[in-house]
Amino acid sequence: MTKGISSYAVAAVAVIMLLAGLGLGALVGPSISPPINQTVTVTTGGQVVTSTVTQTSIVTTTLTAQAQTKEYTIGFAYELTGAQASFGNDMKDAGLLAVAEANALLEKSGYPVRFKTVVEDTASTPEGTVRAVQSLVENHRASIIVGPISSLGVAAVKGYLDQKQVVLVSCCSTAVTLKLPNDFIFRVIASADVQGKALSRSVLAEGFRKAVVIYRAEAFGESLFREFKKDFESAGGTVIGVPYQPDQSDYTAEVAKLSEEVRRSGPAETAVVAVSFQTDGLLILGEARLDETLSNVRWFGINTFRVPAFLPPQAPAEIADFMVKVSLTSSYTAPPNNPRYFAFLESFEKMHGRKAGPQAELGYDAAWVAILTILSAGTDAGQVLRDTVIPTARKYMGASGHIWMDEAGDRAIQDYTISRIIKEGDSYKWIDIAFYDASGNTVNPLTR
Amino acid sequence: MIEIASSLVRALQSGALYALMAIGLTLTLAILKIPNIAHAEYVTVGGYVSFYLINFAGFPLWQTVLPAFIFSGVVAVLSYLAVFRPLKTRKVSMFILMVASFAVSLIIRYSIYTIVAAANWGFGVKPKVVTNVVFRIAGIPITDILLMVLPITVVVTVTLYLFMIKTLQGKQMRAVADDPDLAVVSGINVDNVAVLTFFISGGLAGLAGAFWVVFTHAHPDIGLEALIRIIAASALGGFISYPGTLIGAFIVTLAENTVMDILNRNFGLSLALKPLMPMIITIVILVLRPAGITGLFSRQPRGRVAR
Amino acid sequence: MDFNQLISIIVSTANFYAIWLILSLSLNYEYGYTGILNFGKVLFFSLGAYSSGFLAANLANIMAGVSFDICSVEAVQLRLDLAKAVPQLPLLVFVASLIMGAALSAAVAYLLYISTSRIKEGFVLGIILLSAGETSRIVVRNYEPVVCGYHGLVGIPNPYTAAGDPTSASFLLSITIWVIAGVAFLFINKLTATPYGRKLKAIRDNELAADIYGKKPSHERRKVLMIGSAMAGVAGVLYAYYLGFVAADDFTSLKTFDIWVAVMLGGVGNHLGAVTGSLVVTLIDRGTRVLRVFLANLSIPLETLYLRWIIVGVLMLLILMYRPAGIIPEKSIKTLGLLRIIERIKREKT
Repeated sequence: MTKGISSYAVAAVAVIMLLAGLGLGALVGPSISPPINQTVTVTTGGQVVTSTVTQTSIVTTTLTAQAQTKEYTIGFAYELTGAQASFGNDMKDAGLLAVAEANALLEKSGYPVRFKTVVEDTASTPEGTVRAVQSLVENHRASIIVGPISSLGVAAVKGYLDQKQVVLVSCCSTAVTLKLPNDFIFRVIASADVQGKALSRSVLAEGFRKAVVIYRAEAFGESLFREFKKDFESAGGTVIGVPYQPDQSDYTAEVAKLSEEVRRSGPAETAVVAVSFQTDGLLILGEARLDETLSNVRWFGINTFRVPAFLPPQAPAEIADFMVKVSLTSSYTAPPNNPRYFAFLESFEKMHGRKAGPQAELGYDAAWVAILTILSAGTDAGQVLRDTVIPTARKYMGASGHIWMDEAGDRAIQDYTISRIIKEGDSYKWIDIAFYDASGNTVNPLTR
Repeated sequence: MIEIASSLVRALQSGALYALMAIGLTLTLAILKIPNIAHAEYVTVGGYVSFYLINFAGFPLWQTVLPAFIFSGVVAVLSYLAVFRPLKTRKVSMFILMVASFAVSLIIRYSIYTIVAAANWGFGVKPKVVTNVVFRIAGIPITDILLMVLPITVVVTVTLYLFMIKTLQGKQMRAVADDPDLAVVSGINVDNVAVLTFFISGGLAGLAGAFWVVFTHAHPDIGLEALIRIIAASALGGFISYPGTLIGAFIVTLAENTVMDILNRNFGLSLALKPLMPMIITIVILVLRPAGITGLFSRQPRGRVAR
Repeated sequence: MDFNQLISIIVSTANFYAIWLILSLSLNYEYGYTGILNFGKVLFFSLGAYSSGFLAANLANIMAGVSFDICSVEAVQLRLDLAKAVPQLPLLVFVASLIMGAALSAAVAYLLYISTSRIKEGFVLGIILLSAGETSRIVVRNYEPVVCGYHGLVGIPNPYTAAGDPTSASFLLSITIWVIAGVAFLFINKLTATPYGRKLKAIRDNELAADIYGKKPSHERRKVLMIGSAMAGVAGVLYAYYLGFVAADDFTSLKTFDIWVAVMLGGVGNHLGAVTGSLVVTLIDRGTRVLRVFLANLSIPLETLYLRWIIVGVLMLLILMYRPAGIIPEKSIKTLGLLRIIERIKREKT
């Protein structure tokens, strides 16, 4: 009998705890933030200012910031678990860097505005994104949402955000179906067609007229492939596609197919193009190493390949050696010699103790666009923010270059710097070889 | 023709690994009637043990196999002692146990996520040791992983089979599988049998994980990704048959590699549909032979797993 | 924390809760009443969502007399513009989707059941349904004409566009979702609080005996699976309209497990169990998100993002350990005859 009561009691307590947690969190949620405690280096006008941003608890924020200081919450909804966890964590960390830098600048200038961040995990699913964004908007009253990576996630929350009138700035969603004017969705990345053209031109520039493309069979990879094919064939080339289901751990069958297509097409005059993210890209390179044909052709990759995760010490040296052997050519989303890009890479490593991952500069820019939008609007009213994003972004020079947004709120122009990997002694190095000019759809070699 | 042969070699390689993973699921289900979804997480645990030893202690792959086996086995035993045993004493239904194992898998998986994030290892990285081609037969690469995994799988399965047939503990396990009540009455310590079963199944999953992490990559979701194939392999064995599970694992990888290759070549089916193959094979075989493929090989009476 | 904020938290939690309630009620009807191990619940849920996306996209094209690719941005814009121009249209499409979603799910359930009629083992049927769910997801994911494959179908208009501003339209939709969930609860209660419900439990508890008494277990199971799947289809339609978006990638087998968790935590074989179970699952999701931020504030030197899932697991285990039969265990059915017998025994004792 007592046992029955006690188990009832425990169950009741569990449920009550949940309810209490929900209520408590809703009450304190808006006034609390995760602790950020780090030194931030900000480069302003050639001189380096180092300051420490301390934001440990409710007490410090309310004490240091006087009553007239206004605090805005920026909600990060990123893929922190699931298939895109590696991508999402980099984007989140790049965003946190932007917020820390902004707060350091604001504190130094004495301007009475501060930014607070709340991070939520979308679990790499559409439903998870909806739940994460709802929690950010409702529990934490985020003024603006930054993220997620996946177009599916953005599409899933679009209806909710339009209704709640909350602006979302996505770093990396590329789907063309979201190119809608007058909504609350903004993207600091150019849609896949620009990247497809850049890739196609960089392959053509090396004299190849045949290409075999291995690509992720999902929204991003497929539209990039389609655009690549269109552009490549318009220049008289032939393209064969090998699609694969992303987010698996075994790509042996796909790589074997790729090798077969290359052999059929003639290894000497065929370029291999990989449209992969970091995780699947590593797996594909790791498998292609073992193939004789694929080790003796030229490889081209999208910008995700040009990151430290593919080089020692983060990856085995064998993969880097393979990349050198096939002189893998990749790109990054910035004009060449952009000082802001290199400053970003340095600050990221200083803050997080590791190197930035693929496209992290876009996560950084997305957060900065969000911050600057709030600062220039001077309010967090959704309607006003929506009308401020485009003009603000157009004035912003980011780590990924100039963010010129079109009427639909998507980046219209994206320049790429094309680089190739080489080995110098024991270390691997990317050297910039050419520059893709989006306005003219041309690849211009860089003279050093 | 060469391509078909090469896909067969690939099927053999991943089939051996899936077989090691699936045996444990079948064992716990057949002997203890626990549908343990958390089984997939033991693969991840073993994988990360191996990843850690390779990257941070400089071990060669073969030396990480035993630690991975023991560590995963211990994690499996702990999950039994902490969760499944208390629930079993309360005589809960099989599906409550399944939900509990789902909770266990959440706890293990996200603990790994926490550790990986805290240690800054990165998600989806390749371990320092990579697969290498030892020799080629008519251009088909034979990798060192294949040469290690195949003998190990054969040795392990034969040893386990002999263990089940010859030793006292093995006989006790089979007795518990046939009739737990009768086993208790005959003086068998069911608890010891359960601990041993969990240790062996978790250990085998961890052993497979050690190779799997080198063959693929280190990511907290590798077990979860393999789960659906493990279930398919075990289902093909009717969830109770040891040889059936082994053959099931090879059928699954054969479908993914060779059958897919043939369909792609002759009917132009996109390779993106590859994950479809294990599912379709499972449906077809189970519709035709609901008790799994084992009926083809043994005439043993089959216990009912579910009500 | 003001009133509006509280309201919006409650509304969005209640929307997800209502959809999960329909799913867990239907799964509980299938498993708790007849012992069908439906590991493919997500298949029927997704069929409802696909039908709404498919209808909304294609009807808009037909109405406007154009033949856009339903996945193109022009088609998305057309759907949203058309909803504004003809505000009654989305409501009509919504009703049509409900009917089509329910009918399609029931039809697929029927086909799957009769094609597996030889199978006696419940577990095997469960695995077949699980594989069927994954199969349909991968096929729809790679086949654009249904809901744009991996691009997902954007721009399903709110059925109450006629209401004018988006806030009241979405509130009306929320009320519709709750009403349908309530109707589902009453329907399933009415259905099982009859001799029919006892017949089903008899089949579950002893199939052979039920068969001997002429209760046709296979026939009844098929009916139950069809009704349960139709309910899941309706839930899928509501889900698609609530998000305004459908993508095959959202319907992985993990969703099925979530529904199982809700039913098992709540208690099998009684509807209040499903009501409680899905409430607990919904609250765990929202509650632990809040709890996580709270913990992060305590300066714990751990990555708290993943802690949330660990808390979810521990909570589930605690409930299972201390309430192994679910939070609300199944009670024996009290018929009039049984009550009279109990009365008599009590009287004789005193």
